[in-house]
Amino acid sequence: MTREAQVTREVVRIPERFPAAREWRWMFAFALALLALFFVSVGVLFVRGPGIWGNNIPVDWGFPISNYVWWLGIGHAGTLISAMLLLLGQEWRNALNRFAEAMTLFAVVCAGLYPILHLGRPWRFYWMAPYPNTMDVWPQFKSPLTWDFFAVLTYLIVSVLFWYIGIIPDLASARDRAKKRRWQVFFGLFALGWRGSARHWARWQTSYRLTAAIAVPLVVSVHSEISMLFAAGPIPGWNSTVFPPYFVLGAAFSGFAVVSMLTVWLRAMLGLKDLVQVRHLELLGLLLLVTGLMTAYGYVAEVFNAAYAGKRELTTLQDRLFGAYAWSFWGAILFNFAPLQLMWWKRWRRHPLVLFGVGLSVTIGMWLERYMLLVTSLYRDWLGSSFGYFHATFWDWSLFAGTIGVFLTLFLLFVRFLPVISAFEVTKSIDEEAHG
Amino acid sequence: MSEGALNDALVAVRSAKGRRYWRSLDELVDRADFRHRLKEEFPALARAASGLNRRDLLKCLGGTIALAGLDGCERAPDEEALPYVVQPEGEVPGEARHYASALELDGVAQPIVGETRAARPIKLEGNAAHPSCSGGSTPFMQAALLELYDPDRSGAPLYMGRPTEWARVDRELAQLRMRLDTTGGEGFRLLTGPVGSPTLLGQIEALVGRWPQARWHSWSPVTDRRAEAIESWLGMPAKRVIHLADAEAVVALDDDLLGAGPEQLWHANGWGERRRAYQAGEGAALLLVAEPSPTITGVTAGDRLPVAEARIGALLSGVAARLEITRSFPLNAEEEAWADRAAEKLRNHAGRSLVSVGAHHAPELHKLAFAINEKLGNLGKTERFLQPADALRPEPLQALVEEMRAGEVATLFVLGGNPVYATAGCTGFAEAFARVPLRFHAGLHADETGSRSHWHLPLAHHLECWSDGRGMEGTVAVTQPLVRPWLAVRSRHRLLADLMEDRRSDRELVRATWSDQHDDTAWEQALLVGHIPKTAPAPVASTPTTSTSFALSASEPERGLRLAVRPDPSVWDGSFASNPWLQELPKPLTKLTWGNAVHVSPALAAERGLANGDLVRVRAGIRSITGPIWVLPGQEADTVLVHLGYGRELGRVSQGVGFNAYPLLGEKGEVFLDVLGGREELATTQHHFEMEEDEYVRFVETAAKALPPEPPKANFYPPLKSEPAWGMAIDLDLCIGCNACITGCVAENNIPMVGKEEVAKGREMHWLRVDRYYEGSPENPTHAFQPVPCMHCEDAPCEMGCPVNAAVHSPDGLNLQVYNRCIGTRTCSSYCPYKVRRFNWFDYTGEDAPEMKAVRNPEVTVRSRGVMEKCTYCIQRISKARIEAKKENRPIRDGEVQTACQSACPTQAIVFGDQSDLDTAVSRRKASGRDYDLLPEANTRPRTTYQARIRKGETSE
Amino acid sequence: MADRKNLYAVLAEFDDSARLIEATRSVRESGFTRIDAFTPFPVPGLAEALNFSDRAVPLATLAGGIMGAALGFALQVFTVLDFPLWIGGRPLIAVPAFMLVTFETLVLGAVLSCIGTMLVRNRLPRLNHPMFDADDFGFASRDRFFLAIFPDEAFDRNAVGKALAALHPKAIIDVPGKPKL
Repeated sequence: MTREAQVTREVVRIPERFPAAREWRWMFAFALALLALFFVSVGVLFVRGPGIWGNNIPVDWGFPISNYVWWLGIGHAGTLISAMLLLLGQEWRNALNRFAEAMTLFAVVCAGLYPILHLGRPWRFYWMAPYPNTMDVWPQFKSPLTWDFFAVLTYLIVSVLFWYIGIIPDLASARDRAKKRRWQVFFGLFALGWRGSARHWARWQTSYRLTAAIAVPLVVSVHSEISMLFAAGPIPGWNSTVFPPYFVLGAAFSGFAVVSMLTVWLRAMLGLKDLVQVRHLELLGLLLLVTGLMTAYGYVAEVFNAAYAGKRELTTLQDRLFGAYAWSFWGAILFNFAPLQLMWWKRWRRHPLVLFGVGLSVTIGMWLERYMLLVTSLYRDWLGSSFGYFHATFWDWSLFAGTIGVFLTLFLLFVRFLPVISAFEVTKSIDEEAHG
Repeated sequence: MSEGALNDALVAVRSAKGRRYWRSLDELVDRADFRHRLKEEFPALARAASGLNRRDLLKCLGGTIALAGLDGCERAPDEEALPYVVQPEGEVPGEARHYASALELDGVAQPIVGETRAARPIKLEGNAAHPSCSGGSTPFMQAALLELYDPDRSGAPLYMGRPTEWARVDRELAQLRMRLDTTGGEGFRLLTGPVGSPTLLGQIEALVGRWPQARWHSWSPVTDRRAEAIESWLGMPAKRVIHLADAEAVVALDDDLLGAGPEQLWHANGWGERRRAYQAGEGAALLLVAEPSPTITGVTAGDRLPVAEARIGALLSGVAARLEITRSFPLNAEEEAWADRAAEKLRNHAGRSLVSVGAHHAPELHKLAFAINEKLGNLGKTERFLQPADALRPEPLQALVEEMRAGEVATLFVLGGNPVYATAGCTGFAEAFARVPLRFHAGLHADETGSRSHWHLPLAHHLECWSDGRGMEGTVAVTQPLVRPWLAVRSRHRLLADLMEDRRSDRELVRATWSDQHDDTAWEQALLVGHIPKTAPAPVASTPTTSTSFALSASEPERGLRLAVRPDPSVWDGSFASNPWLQELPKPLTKLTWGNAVHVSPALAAERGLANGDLVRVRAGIRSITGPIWVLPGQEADTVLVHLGYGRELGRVSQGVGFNAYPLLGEKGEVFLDVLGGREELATTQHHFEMEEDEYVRFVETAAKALPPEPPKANFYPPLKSEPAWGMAIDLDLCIGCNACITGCVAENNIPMVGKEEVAKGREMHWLRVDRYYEGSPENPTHAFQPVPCMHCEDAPCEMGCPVNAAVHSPDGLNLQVYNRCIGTRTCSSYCPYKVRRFNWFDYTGEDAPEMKAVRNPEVTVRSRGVMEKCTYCIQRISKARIEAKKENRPIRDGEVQTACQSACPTQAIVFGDQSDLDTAVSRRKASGRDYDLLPEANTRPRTTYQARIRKGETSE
Repeated sequence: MADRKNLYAVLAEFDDSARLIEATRSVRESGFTRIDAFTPFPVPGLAEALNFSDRAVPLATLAGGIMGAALGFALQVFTVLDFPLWIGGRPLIAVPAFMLVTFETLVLGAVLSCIGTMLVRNRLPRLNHPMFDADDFGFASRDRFFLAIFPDEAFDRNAVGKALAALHPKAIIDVPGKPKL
């Protein structure tokens, strides 16, 4: 059997003959437990109201919004990796893009849940959408929240489509290989009857590349708009033009961190060592290092701007560095950039566990950063009289853990039932190598 | 037809139900004499009645006079009470009725105008028609409304703690009466608080007259030794009144003139008037204060000296010595300097100055103060002594306690008040009380005293009974009911009348007190305006009989800590402890809610390593109390301050809130602090008080000075043009931080109270807050208050944030919050530089008791869970005025719209109006050189602006 | 002929993309027009070999983008005019603020029409297709490469067979089914 055939088989057979059934079951049980916690938290929230959280005046945004930004940031890596690298013709991406995109989807889902749950009256969230109604009122299009609503919705739709048309050919091959009837039907339906006609491929390729080309600026715009949520408010520490690029870079950084973790994990669990090779890990490490350094530059730029933006910005800066929430600032610095330095060395980049560790640390670091940006600006904004402190409650944490449960559940289902790696693209690149 | 016949008909109507009721009402309408009565009672309706067909007329009447026939609990205005004003053109009767009446606090009448809707009192304001009130109110007056509706009020008599019938009470009283008749009142003691009501005094007189052996004792939780001073100085009892309106230089020694209490409104009115005159260039308005712990008087003063309570005497003697009245005691440099300044100001303004000493100080000090005022020719001007209106004088509490101990008291009748709780530990009242064989307690609540009495008799609230009282300057105010009692309660007058088998109604009792001076028309006029003219007592010839040699005890500088016990600015002596509006009212200087604290100076805190919330035991003599620390800048180094009124045993609201400081009341000598190690969370609405270099509150040196001109700020957008353009001006120089505005706002706008835990989380709901800042050294900083409502910015950031158009601007320049459109993203609040928005984190209103729902203003939406709310500039009052103006096809007049905070303010610090018209009060205020925007760097074009505070009290400096 | 009635296409199977391209080219040069190829992944140059090009997708994308942007902007202008409200002292139609939503609708329009057109032009989804009846066709999604010749009026099975045989495929497969004439 040819190399191509092996690759395809290796990938598309995963759902049918799952290599790590036992581990998967344990992990899925864990994920379901967290999912249950999610539903409990949401239930309590709906019955009692947002007061169950630590939010107050002045810090009336707390966990929900900072976690929203965090999740959405993570949800940028997939699209970036697969779209940008596709356009740059980086074939090595083929080993990663499929599950990176899946990760994106599920992260965006978690992100999307938060702004709705954090509402005082969640059951009215659809009032943000423009539709003719009895009150004759429309959304307020000058509000960053309305921008976000459109941005996140668009981003969700586009990344679903991008991911789906990308997976169709593999679904087709899964269909053709499937022995059991139910698998044939399952894959058959979702493959839309793909049969690999050269004409289809031609049109498919144009649309796939076009979508990718559009997705890249989309990613940038989405997180820029998230940053507006802060930057558009007249709050010291938020009202800054650095925010859009700063947020986008941070997003990519956190996203790549999560991708690295998932890569190492899947590679080990599904035994994809010869598909996801050490060089892939190394490249991820490099990506982490680069985006990390850019983010670090963002930090410096922030401080620099603050230093020149007059008294209030300066006070906020001092609050961040030495105030009641200094731990979140220095925590972010430590977790984001200290372990990252290992990535300068090839041998550490190539070391799965080290990469995983760095990824984990960056994920935590970026969470601290989102928290820091939100809380340190709000808790002492303008009037000395309205300074106040924020303390997360049990329900803050439980809901956060719950969303992680949502993510894991979805991702584990994806791993279990769909081709985790773009087989046809891998075989394509192998074929091209074969013909020089 | 005769008056009586008509009354019978009316009674018939009320007693009737359903269709019979309407039929009898129907007949009523055609009666000539009814029409006549109608004209008297509702002129507007009478006018309408001619035009309206009978059907519409019936509709109106159905709502107004006849509710009694419809609902069981008789929540109808008393039939004899008369509307306050001849209702303005075109107002629909039955929509809102206003009654002039009066509350009573520690025997001082607080004149009010009560607004009732659908026969429910829903708002109280000060009655400017009464000579002792020139408008405005106090937190206590505002919150009295909630007291009326308090679900915890006792609604039935208790015998041995079990509910019983009034009939049984009557039988018991009858037996008591027989006993007293036979024994001539042997062993019968009546205990009251300070009594101001002439009618009540008359009744007590009658009681003592009928039973000579009976005794009347009176006590006040708040120590007042001025009365004895006056008596020994004048050789006769007299009532003292001071007129701050005329006092250009006031020297207050440990005397919280402007602070909470029965005299607050009178003094605040006076001070406001004086200060406004000074701003207008008419004379000075100087206030020099020496006090152990900051009060709002001290904070308002231009010259404040923190000094131990024990040094007040020496300081006063120093001032006196400089005015060649008596020799001085040795003073330290600071005290010398202050005494110099005080004496100088007093002399400069002789005849228009005033020295006053805190009522709790020794008589000798008061006498010296009187002497100074006499020497300066202030007597009869800024300080006046009035003839005592009452012949009968109560006996002190201590005498009663002795008798109770000796077992000489067979029956104790406690009429109002809660002596078991609210008496100093050293008096030992509670123990002695338990030894009295038969104990009656009449009060609003079955409180500590009620629960320890054989009989607890529920009292009627002032808003639901007839009575009378004397305002600060002595004029009699008539208390007429705004609503009929819906609980089985009786008034004070009724109880005494029942005891003495007096069958007259309360109204007749009150009327009888004034029958000699007033015929019926005069009486009805008195009811309309709320006071009886020319009833102020005549001034006494103020010639001191005693020599002017003063036996001041030389107070050598003391060692160790000294205790100061004061009534609480929010719950007073504890009588308001069950009132959530007051429990959640931030105390002026600490912004503490729901509890009291052990206040210490920064120096002491540093020395002992104490931080806010640390639990300490305060020991004085054999007694001690335990409470959390609060560090208070500006407090004298060795003074420890505690507030009364907390640590109640009973009451859904008051129970377990704070600690009871009464045990230490009256303790002299050194006190000791033991740190207990524990901590108690204190719920404060402000965590950060230092102003640093921020100019939230701005200052000018004298009234003549203006703020440096602001350079015009760059802005992409033109200013908002609209007519009218509503705006507010708050003069920080007039604000004394009394919190009346907050309580007024709470009452007007149905602000929910959220409780200690929520406040501690930073979720209080007040639409209007009074920020307090200080600058300078913590030993004696300059304090300043700043009321902060919504700024109604023209370029409002909140509106930019809202995704659903719930925060929008109205054509008349209001920043609106549309509750039913709000989905609770809270972006508006995040973007608000002033953080004036409030969010319903939970459903704060749904579970309210029916009484609490009854108190709500029907014109203001009750907000649901998950929506944002904030100050609306009392939009409901604006639209009311707009409607009136439209009807008469004229523009809204200046001053026609008064926001709740504005009408509650006793010093007229807040002015509201149309700033597009340059000839309105608000425009004139904003035109002053002291006008400035809060947070100009935010560049939001706020419609609420402030006038800078003036440091000095006279321009010639 | 009987089988002529029931012949959908004739397939030549290859196991290398390069040889498929050659084969395609030569078959087309020898005059067959109704041909197609089936591959497990997009083979570069194959479209050229088939002389196939279709600009529909990029054009549709462009149109969709413009459409989306226009609609998005129009929506915002319409709504503020439909219910004019004073917001933060800003002008009703605030073009800079409207640009962000406009961009999102642009993207949405472009992507939807792009992918929509791709599916429509490819006649997808179509779950059953005569091709699936060919033996071993399933390998097209794995590692085999097929060249298909569809019958036309002047269709001669043997001629076709010869032409294909000349290309030395691994196998020649008849695909049964109603021919598209």
